[in-house]
Amino acid sequence: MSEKEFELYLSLLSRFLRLKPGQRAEIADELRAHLEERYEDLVKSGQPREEAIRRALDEFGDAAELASHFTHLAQQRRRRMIMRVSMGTVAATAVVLFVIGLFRTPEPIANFPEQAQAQQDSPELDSELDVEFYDPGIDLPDEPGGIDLSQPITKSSQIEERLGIRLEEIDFVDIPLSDVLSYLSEQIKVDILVDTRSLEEEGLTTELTIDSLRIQYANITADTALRLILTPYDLTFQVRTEHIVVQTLLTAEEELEVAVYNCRDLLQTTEAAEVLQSKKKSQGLFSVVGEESQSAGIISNWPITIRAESADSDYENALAKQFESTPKGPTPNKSVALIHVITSSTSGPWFTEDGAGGTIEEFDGLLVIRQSQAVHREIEELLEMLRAANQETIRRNASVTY
Amino acid sequence: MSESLDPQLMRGSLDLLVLSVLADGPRYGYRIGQSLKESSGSLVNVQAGTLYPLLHRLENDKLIKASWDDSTGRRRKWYELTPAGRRRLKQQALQWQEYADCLRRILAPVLEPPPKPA
Repeated sequence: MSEKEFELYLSLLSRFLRLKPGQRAEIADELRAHLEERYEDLVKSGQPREEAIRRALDEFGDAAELASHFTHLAQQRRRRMIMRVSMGTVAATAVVLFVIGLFRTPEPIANFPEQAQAQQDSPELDSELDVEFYDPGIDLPDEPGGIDLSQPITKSSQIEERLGIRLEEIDFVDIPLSDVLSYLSEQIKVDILVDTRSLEEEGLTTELTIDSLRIQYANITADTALRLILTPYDLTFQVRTEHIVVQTLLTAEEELEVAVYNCRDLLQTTEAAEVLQSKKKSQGLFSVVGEESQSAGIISNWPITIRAESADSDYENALAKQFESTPKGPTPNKSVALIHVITSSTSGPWFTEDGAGGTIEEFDGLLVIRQSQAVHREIEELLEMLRAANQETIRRNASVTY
Repeated sequence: MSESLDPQLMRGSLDLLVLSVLADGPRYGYRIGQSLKESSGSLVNVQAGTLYPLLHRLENDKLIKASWDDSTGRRRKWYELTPAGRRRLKQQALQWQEYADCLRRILAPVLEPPPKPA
């Protein structure tokens, strides 16, 4: 029973709205309901019809101005969407790089064709979840080139693999945490349990509603999704041998576990660098950049420095050969430096006096680290970065092992 | 007593007022305006032209969320607080309480001697 005057106002307003037709219609619907109800109330209170219409419309003010408010707000929303989408593009690029990486890996594991097949399948979206995931870190214990150095050796690596499964779409809007978790649990076929007592200590329950998380553009991993969901509530998750536990950050920090990181590549590379440096120095070729390497913190700068200085490729080849014939173990200095890098660039806590903090020890190129899972993840990322910076040298190592 | 508060004066607190109305449960735009008027003894009278952009902004910020309902015969957009909105409301209410106390202390001398209510 909308009044003609109202429809005129709304169509005028719509014309000023620089929005999609659907959005325009929604705004018109919302305002129409208001105008009609306001009109009824005014008439009920004894206003004449004309006066009621005039007042109802007056309260909305100038149509053009109101429209510009709505348009502005919608544009703001769109800008945020664009930001989110471009973040998605970054994720998509990462997927592409990951896939490229997959096609490169089969070579080293060519001796194990049946497993190579499994490894290629695992990160695919539609892969059968029942597949036994192939984990090079565990299944190939003593094969020198087969060990995936980038993964720490833990028992829960199978669950870690499944956390890498990509979810096609996420659209949680005000859904209780318990539902969100059971959905994710179904997707990755891993039980997700909630440490309710730890949540209760913070005044939280699994009935807490997740504000909203809408990710439709890119396939993010289950791992990322879980973190996105839990972090705003100061929650986190831990991987156990057979399931995942959701708990508060506070509790998680107190639960330390041991993981072994094979860092022989990093430790040896830096030693190679040192030899290179000292030789060049003795030949009077090396510059100030090299001097700084005495301080532990800049280890990650090393490969870059070398690349810049290594005009003498014959010399490098000779050096590589030398390592081929007499592979040396890591020197204590390098591991102390690496341990320093790890403890200073992760959140810790490390070596607290009450014994609650994490510990880190080196044994023959292996770092044995006792820390919370969150810090273990930081360490993995850090090592990954170091290795990426080190790529040049790693390639040389590869030629040693194969 | 003034008929309604100076809009200029209310500007900073309007978001808070709207959120506080929704703390009692979901409402549609017109009801939000009416509730504010009623609970303020007609002192707070938000114009429709101010109210709806404000609601859309709060929705953008995910402090409130909207859903459509046609069941009453009139198509209405209902708003309700999100958990984030609830948190914001509580936090802002505390701030405003402090501000109001502070104003009262500062302004008390201006109004002296306080007129005794009859």
